[in-house]
Amino acid sequence: MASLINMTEDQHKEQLKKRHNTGAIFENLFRVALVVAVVALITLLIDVADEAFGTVLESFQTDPQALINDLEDSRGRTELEQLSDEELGTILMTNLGTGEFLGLIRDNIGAVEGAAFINEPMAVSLDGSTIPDEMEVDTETATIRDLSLEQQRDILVANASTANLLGWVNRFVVGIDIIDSWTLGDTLFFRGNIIEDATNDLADDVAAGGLERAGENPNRVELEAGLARFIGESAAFDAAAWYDRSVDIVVSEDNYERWIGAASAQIDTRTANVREANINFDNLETEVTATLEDEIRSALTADMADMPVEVAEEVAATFAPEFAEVAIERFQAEDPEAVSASIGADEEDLLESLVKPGLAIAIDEGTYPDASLEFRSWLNQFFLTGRGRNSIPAEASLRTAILGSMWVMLITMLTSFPLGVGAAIYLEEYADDNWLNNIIETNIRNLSGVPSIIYGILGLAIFVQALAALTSGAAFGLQETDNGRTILSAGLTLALLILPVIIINSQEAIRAVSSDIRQASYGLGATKWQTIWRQILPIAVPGILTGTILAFSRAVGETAPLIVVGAATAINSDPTNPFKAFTVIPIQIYDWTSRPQAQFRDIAAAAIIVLLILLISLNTTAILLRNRFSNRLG
Amino acid sequence: MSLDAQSSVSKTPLERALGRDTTTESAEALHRHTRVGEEVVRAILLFCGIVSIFTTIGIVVVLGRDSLIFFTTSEAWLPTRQLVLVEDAPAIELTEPLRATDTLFVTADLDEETRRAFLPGRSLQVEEEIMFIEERVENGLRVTRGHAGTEAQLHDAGTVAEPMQETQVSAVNALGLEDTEIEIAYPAEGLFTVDQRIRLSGSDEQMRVTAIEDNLITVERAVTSIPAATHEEGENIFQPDAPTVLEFVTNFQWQPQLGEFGIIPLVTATLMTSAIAMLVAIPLGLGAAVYLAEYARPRVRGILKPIMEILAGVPTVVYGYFAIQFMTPLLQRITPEGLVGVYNMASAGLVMGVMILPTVSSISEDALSAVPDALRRASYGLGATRLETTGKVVIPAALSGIVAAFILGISRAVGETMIVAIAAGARPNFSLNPFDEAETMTGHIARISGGDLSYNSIDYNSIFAIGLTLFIITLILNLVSGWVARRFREAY
Repeated sequence: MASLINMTEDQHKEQLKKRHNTGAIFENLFRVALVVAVVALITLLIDVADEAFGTVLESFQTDPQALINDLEDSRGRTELEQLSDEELGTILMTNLGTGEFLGLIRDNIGAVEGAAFINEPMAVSLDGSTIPDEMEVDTETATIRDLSLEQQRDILVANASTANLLGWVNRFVVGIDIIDSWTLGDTLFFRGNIIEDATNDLADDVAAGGLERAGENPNRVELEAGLARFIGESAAFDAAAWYDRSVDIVVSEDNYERWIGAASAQIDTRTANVREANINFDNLETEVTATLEDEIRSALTADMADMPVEVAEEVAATFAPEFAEVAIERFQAEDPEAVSASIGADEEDLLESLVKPGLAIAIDEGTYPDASLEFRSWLNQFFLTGRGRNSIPAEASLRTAILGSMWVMLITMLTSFPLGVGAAIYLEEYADDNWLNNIIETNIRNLSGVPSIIYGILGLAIFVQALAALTSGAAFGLQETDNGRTILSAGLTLALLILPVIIINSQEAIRAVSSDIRQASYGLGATKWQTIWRQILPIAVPGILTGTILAFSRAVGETAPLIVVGAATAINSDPTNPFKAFTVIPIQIYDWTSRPQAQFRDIAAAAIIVLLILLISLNTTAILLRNRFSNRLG
Repeated sequence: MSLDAQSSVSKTPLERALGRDTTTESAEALHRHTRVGEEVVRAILLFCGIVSIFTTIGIVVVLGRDSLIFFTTSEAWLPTRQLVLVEDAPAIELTEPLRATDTLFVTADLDEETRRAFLPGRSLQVEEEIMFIEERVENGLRVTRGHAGTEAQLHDAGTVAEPMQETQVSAVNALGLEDTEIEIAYPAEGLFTVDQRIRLSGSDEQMRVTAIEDNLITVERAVTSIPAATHEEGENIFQPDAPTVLEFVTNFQWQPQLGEFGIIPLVTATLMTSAIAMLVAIPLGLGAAVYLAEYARPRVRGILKPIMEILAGVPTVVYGYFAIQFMTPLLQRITPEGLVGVYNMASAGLVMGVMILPTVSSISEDALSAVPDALRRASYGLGATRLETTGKVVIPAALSGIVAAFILGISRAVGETMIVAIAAGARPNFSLNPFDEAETMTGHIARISGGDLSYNSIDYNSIFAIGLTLFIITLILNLVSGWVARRFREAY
């Protein structure tokens, strides 16, 4: 330590300062480690929420507004969600064919399948369903076909939830298809980008549609007018303006308002020149026409004489060669080279310069006829309770997975809880220090470190394959599937998986019971079991439950072993007994996450929220129990 | 317990008070009296304890038995292939002599037609020797010498090489139920051996080769329980390829359907992802543990610990989602274009590190907290700063617990399935590049068993062999972890 002795006080102070600096740096490094963990958790949660909610671009075959307008009393409502059950039923009734409507009833509330449904009396065909009281029919003799359409509707409405009715309307009548989706972050902060993306999504369709409407051998102007009309009349003016030609525009009562708004906006912002527009107001009533015509004419006759050179270039880029010549002639004086460089622009440019701007406005204002941007919570009532088809993002539902998880957990709980607690009691209260008990102890510690997928392999070989007769229900005459890939197998596999965790946690809870209580109980002449049952267990129960719930929350989120045991991904019917094929929430998350389309990620995020809420409620219960437990001991 | 000892005393105060006249014998009788209910309960509880042993036995037996099946009876049926010269194909000339050790076949520039004939993956014949074309390079072809059982030899400049192609060997004749002779288009010597089994593409019937003569193979029909069937002309001949333990641990390819049974690519992918995970989890986990145990005030601790617990409780499938949805795009954004694929080991490994972090930190923190305060005070008393106390006194004292936590973390990383199944890709691929796609052992098991797996197929049996490997690796890690914790524990 010579250096220390030789050190002056200044040197020493300096060294001390250095040491403290190093200390401070490291303290911050340690803190950063924790911050990273916290940030990771927050990022994860934000990412999930970001995906689970957001904007979607929906396309539909029938405009929901038109459906609402068809109803007797349609006033004031713009969303299908605002309709009553009966009105939803009416929409289904009027828009589906009779056979299709009956098929819907049969598949969802009917008790029998196939032709029997329409041939058997209602007591059989609709066994277990509610028949509204005011309907005066003899269910013993009348078949479903003897009822009027309205009566059939009433039965459907009485037996189906709002979420399901809404789902059917969306699926069978509206025919919603989600073309694209954007996250919550985009929705809140980058609406411009969304509209740009949506425009790109739809542009090709629009071009195709426009071509179709323009006929087989379209003149360019007709083509553009066709395109424009398809995306909303406002852009038709553009077309006419750019091409310096006339265009026929049909204005009717339901589109004139938006037409005027869009048209004047377009004309004001673009200094284009419209020579002539044959506007057909025949469909309008006279007094409307007068004001309307004035407005339009004044908008059109605004001074648009001079077109700057950028616009000229755009015109040239837009024009096909034959029109470009005209353009060059007109703008030659300005910058002939720039114009001629743009000659030969193809349809791609037409799309960019003409169709997309109009389309963007149409989408933004919600006037595009067959598609709209909507805010969508992927986590909605239909997703939780509806009967959907999991291969289509808009119709996916978690219903069977939630029920499946419940069934699997029930089996797991019924088997692992008594076994685990029993083993813990044995090890803590009965076991002497002999080789058998030592093996059991060591074995349990090692089992808790075995990867979960190994349990899956065990379950596959034992429960699914070797005990197939038992787990497929064949032994009980309840066979539903031809193999053992059932709820029972899954539940038993998970039971084995969490058994070591339950044992270890329960052992700790039992060990924590003061031995005074045991001695006192024995002192009063109680037998060993009486002591355990009446004294020790009541005190240890909160601790045991805490440990067990934590173990269950692990089982709820477990995926890998269930994949190996043979979970299915698309189960359409609710599980009603343990011998059914199964799916659970984590399996659905895995399935949806593995699919490439972005919308499935959104559904996966919604399912993750459900799973996390389930886990958090389980853990909160455990924490509450733990607190109660520690209070009692205190 | 002490209860028994008390009852052997002739008269307890309680008994006297109750006025009972209990003799020693009756007390003895009370002692010996077997309470049936008690015994039944005891037996039931013992059974509960033993179930866990059954689980272990089950795991060992199932993995062992089915792995044995994998190595003994399961086999992949591969088409018999024969290298033949491509007809009417252009030939190329050696422009420089080729020694037996050279791998560069130097030749003049190739035109389009010649290039197509000498594609990489095909072979070429030079005199007696056959070479395998690895790739095309600027001045010729990179080849593997002595392919298909031939010997590498010296070739002079000007020697002509002809392209070769693999074709499937098929039976020229049709086979009735009784026929025992199969004719093929090539000499059977070298393609088949006497006593091996073969199969024709038409049915699962297996035959045993009894004799080989020129282009004729004599077989014994229906050697397994599958009955003989008639076969059409031109059916392909298949030969079994069974995995061996040696191949299992030495082959660098895993394609059970194609007769490649090497677990190495799966193991390296597992080790790669685990290593990346530990690169994240060890420093961060230890840092977090040190901060929580040595620096944080109780209130901060009270907030941060539950957050770590939540992180530990998030299901792994959610982390998998996080990896592919967040980490992979992030990596793609911050690295040069095209370096990181949609599936890669780095993304899976990083997220796995986050997943393991709470495990490592919570066990390490327990170990750090268990170090008695006296050591810290002594260190402070000698003038050490907090960092010096932590780094030179507390961490060394808690080292056994910390190392045990690390090993446990590795064990969890090796056994982790969902993250790698989702984010690391689905191609058994030997690669040490973390941005490559590669399938781990667990990921492979999950993918293979995800479909409707039929029992006794080679894929089904292979998951047990992989599972056994995985089980052994994790068991060793767990045992080492426990041993380290006990062996190097500092007693205070």
